[in-house]
Amino acid sequence: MEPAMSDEKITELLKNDFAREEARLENDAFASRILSLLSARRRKRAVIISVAGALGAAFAGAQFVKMTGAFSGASVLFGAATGRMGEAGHAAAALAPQLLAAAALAVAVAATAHVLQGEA
Amino acid sequence: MALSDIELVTLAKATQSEAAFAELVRRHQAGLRAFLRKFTRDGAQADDLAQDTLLKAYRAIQGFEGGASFRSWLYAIAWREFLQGKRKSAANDRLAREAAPDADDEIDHSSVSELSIDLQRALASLEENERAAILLCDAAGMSHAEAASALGAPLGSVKTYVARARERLRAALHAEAAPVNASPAKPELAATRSR
Repeated sequence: MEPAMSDEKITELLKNDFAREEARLENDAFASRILSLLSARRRKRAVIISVAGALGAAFAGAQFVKMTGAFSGASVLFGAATGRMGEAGHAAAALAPQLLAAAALAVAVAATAHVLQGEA
Repeated sequence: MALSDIELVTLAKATQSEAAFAELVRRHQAGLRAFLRKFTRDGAQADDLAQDTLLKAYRAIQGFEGGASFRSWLYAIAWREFLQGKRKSAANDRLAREAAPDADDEIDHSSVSELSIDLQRALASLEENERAAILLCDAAGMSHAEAASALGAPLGSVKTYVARARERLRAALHAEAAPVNASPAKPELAATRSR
């Protein structure tokens, strides 16, 4: 009757068996398959984001005139305040609704970009 | 100089670099799959689990806080995936103990020694926790603490699993050896035993 195996012998058997299996799997196509899957997911995500971004931009563009109208009330107050500042003041007052609308859209775009960056 | 796992994880987190994660995949996929293959004894199931694990790890990399090694974090995802799949699947029977490895197992038996086959049988006779613990600690070379982190088990339990698994493997291999020694059919095993 042989003596029972020591813990070290069992560990050695397991380690060698595992190392053989690991070496066998090291260079097969699995890793490249996973990396292709990740790339495909990233491309799909980029397409979805691009389409959503284009739709969002189109919608925002369509709202620009409405937003300008909404901000025109502010331009009256701004005009009164800048009335004493000559032609430059009048020009600024005339541009104020467009500037405010553009600024609001820029903030929306920046916030969306920030969220998407965190998500990506 | 090659970057460490933690440096690659930091890079992947900071720059959302796919290249950094790809290096982690290349570095750990073989070990992870070897563990899962030895554990499940089903090459296809093991590779599916490994694939799900790596894709999940990619999505969850921002949540890796560095408290454990990247490897044990990765194996913890794999272990949870396995447990989840086991709960969901009605095909648990696949994991039922069978004396011989599955027919669709991709192990090339022609290159596997008789001793290795005995070892697979002996491993298959262990409880799941014991098999996972001894594969992680003795075969994959993890510390008990890393294995505990991967299995989500207390350190003391993992030590117990490993000790019990060694005891059972010893008994199973010893039992396998007895008829082998009497027969010239397995000279390699007998030779290994006598070394």
